Amino acid sequence: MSVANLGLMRAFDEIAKAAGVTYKEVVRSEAAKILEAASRNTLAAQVQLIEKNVKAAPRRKLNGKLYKMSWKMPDAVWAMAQAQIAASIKRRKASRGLAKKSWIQVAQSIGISVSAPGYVESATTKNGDYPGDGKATEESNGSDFAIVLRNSRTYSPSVFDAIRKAMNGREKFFRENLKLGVFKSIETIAARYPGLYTK
Amino acid sequence: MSETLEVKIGASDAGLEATLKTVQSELARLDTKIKGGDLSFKELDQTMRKIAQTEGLEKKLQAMGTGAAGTSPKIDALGGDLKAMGAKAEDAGEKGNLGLGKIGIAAGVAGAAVKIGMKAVELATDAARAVVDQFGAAIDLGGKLNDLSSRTGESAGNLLILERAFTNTGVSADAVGSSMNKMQKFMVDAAQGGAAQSDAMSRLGITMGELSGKTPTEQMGVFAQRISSIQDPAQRAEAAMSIFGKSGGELLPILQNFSGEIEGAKDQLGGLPGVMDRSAAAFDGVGDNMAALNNKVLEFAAGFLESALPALNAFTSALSGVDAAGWGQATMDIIVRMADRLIGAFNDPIATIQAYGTSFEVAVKTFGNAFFNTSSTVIDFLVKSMETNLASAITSYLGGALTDAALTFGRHITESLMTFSAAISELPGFKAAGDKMFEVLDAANTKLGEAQIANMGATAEAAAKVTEEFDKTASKTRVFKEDFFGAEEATKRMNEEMDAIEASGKETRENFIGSESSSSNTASNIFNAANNSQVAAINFDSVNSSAFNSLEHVKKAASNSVDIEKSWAKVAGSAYTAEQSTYGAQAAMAKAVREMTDKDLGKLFTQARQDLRDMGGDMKTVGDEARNIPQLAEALGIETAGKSAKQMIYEIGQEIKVISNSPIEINIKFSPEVFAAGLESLRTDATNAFQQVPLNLDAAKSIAEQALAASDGFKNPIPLNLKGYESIADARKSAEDNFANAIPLTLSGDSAANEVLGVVQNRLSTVIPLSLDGEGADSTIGNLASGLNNLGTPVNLSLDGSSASNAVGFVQTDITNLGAQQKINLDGANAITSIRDDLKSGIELDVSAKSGVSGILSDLKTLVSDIKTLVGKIEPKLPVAALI
Repeated sequence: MSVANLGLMRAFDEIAKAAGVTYKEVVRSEAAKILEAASRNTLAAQVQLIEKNVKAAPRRKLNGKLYKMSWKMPDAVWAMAQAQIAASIKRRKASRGLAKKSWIQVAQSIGISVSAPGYVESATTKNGDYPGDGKATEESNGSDFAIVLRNSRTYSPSVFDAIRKAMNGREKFFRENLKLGVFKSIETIAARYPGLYTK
Repeated sequence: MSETLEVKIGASDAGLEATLKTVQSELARLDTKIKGGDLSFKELDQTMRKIAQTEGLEKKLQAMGTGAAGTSPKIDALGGDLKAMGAKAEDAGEKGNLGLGKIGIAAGVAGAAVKIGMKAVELATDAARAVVDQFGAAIDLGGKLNDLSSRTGESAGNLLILERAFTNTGVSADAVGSSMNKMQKFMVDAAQGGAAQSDAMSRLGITMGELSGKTPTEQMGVFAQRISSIQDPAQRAEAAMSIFGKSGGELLPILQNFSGEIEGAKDQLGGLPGVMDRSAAAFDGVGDNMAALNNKVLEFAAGFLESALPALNAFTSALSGVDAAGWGQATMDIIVRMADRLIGAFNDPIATIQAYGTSFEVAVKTFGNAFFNTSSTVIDFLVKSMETNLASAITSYLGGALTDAALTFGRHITESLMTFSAAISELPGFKAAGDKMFEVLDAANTKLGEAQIANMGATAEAAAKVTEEFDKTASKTRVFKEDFFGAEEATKRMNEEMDAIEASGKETRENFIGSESSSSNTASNIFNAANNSQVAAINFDSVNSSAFNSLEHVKKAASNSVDIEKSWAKVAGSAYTAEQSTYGAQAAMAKAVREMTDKDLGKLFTQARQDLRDMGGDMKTVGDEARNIPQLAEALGIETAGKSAKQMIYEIGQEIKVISNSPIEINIKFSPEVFAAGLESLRTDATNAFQQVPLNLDAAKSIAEQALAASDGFKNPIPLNLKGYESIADARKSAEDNFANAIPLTLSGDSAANEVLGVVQNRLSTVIPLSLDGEGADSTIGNLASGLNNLGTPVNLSLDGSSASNAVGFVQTDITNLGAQQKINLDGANAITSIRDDLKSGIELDVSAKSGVSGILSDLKTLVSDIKTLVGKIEPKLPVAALI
């Protein structure tokens, strides 16, 4: 699946001309903003729900046997079940924010720095970090430049909406700036698009 | 497995153009597929969305108001592409199975005018048929969903949503029906007590009560929710397969987020599920009937062509002389209208589908009418021909051999006219073209008839007879125009809907065209603005560079200032330290001002005035006269404009510090005790010296004389307080007064002190000559000695200053006269040395700077002079012998 926002491309052209920077600089700067917003827009599991769902599991497999949690069970088995619940909660909490992180990984793969909350940056799977979810490549053709963002974590449904919303939001931001006359001076452009002048 | 999300950000104008090209190429591809008839409804839906997206994009670009350079050509190009769609259909049309062009070619109709006309009509027909075919696809979909609905009990709309949700998660849409049926079988088995099914239900925690009363989609949602909550993947897959059969595992992607996927699919499909809910059954019925009708039409067309070919050949030859230009203009108008309809269709695809639904209904009904009307008319013509002399007229003139051919010719001309006019007129929006064709063909028919007869060598009379009979037959023939199927009402309805779409498309097209000039202007403005921005950017760079250089200079100057400050601080020995920078001072001032209260302000003002008063001199005047802070600041030369009272009082304080600190204080430590002790020692020594003087004088006379002389000499009594301590206190007071104010010295302390010491030593190192006349002095001293002997109590002596010297002269004389009779042992040198030593020990100078020597010297001179005067006053009292 692909997400397109042709109005945003148009906006990049205008920003580059108004700001006196290259098209590539605009694309990289805006990509950083889009990825940051996409990461922000992508949903993450709620800690409360993680705990609630794990504890709500009606059955657990302990020592190769399936136990109903409503059964009375020996203390040792009960302790084992509680340990399993605690471990499960811990593992799920540790992996909380992986979908958000996938956008950070996209940015990192082309050397763009994007800020994210601590739990997102430290999100990991039980087998360690898995950077393969997000990748990006840069494509150049003369003065044209594009960044192709790829996110394989599409089984997290909010990933689609997150990037779409981020791109639309960025386009809206441009249009509002256009309306406000931001592009009439370098100072105002620099104020609204600080990333353009940050090397 | 989930697909990878790919987003391309950037690509500039070229990318935009490429994207537009891609969309247009998609449109062309769609067009081809439409011709081939193998386009599914899903593809139609996707394409409609792409078209809407493209159109929306252009609108957005317009709305953005940027009108950036290059936009307007793109809009123009897009409009051109839309117009050119018909042109592209030309090639595709040749590939069509039932295109009129192919019919014409197959029939050998190769006349140039016909070819042009046929192609023109075909362009518009293809464009219309493309959408009509999609309507057919919609009917197919409706039929399919209706069948599926019958199979599963789910509504057509929900089935459509499920199919989309399945497709979105990579599951085949065809799996919807089978999955649902398997789920239903599972539930029935569970309800009937099937062990495996009941166990599975139990494991999932689902009861039949939870499922009852729900639609199949909702039931599937319940199962999905429970299955997705299973943590173990293997158990999850097993649960899915137990409910949905072996393919249950494939459904896991959608089961994991069933409600989310359903909502997503609903958003994607918009109002289509509702349409399908309402019309799926009707679509199904129409679809079935269509299949049957299509076969009938094909049969008719094939039969017609087979028998009409010879007549068509002659007919098309006659068309060569027809005014094709007028016809071409008319067909071009229609093509433009078709383009408008297509654009309108992009604006509102659902309304278009509905409108073409109506048109299809019209087409079916009209075709039915045409079929029956044509057949009826032909039959009627043949019947009527038997009632006229047509056959005999032809036979009589041309011969019986041609009778059949002539009849065939006449019959097929009629059929051709009717068939063409009907076929074209019945196409949605082609009524005008059909009518125009009818007119042209009618005229051609007349000419053709004349030409045929003339070519056969008939006489004008015979030809006229044939024509007359032919017309007679034709006039008797009833042209059937019955509306067997209610096409008229449907046509009216269709025309209204089509007109609305066409109006919408026309408005959009005109807006596109109208927007070109404004876009062009805006583009020009943007281009200029871009140039200005570039110039501004260059200027900004220059300014930036200059500012940078200036900043460097300022930094350097600031650095130099700090260095100078440091040097000055070192040179002046002021309170400035090397670490204290200008910025620090400013910051300190800002901090002090910020923290200063109004109370502090008053205190500081009072303190400043007091400090100034303490300085004395002009500063004292300033301190006395200042009535307010600005006045005081101005008196001290401080700029007051734009400054707060707090800032001013702070600067006043600093200025006072500078004023009081800049002169280098000479800290002369004056020790009154030592000084007093010194003078006391001096007095004692003097007293002792006096006591050591042996006095053996006949002094009475001299004293009497002296008293007389003194009374003459000192008319104004001069009080002499010989109590040395009081004199010393006076001297100390005088010295303190003199030294109250700091005296600036420019010399080093050591040299100043040495110089002072040198002067004092110099002045005191020589013996002060005392000379007295001997006789007078003897007498005087004798008298003095006598008098001194009588000094039991202090005696006030009054001497007249002016005559004192005379008196001293007399004393000197008397002393001289005393001669050897009087022995005076006065150790004057020792006495003087002692005085000098006392002076030296009584004064401690601590000069810490280079300046002030002259001042203190002057004061010391005065002091020494005072002492000398005192000594001088004592001197006359000394015994004469002491002067030897």
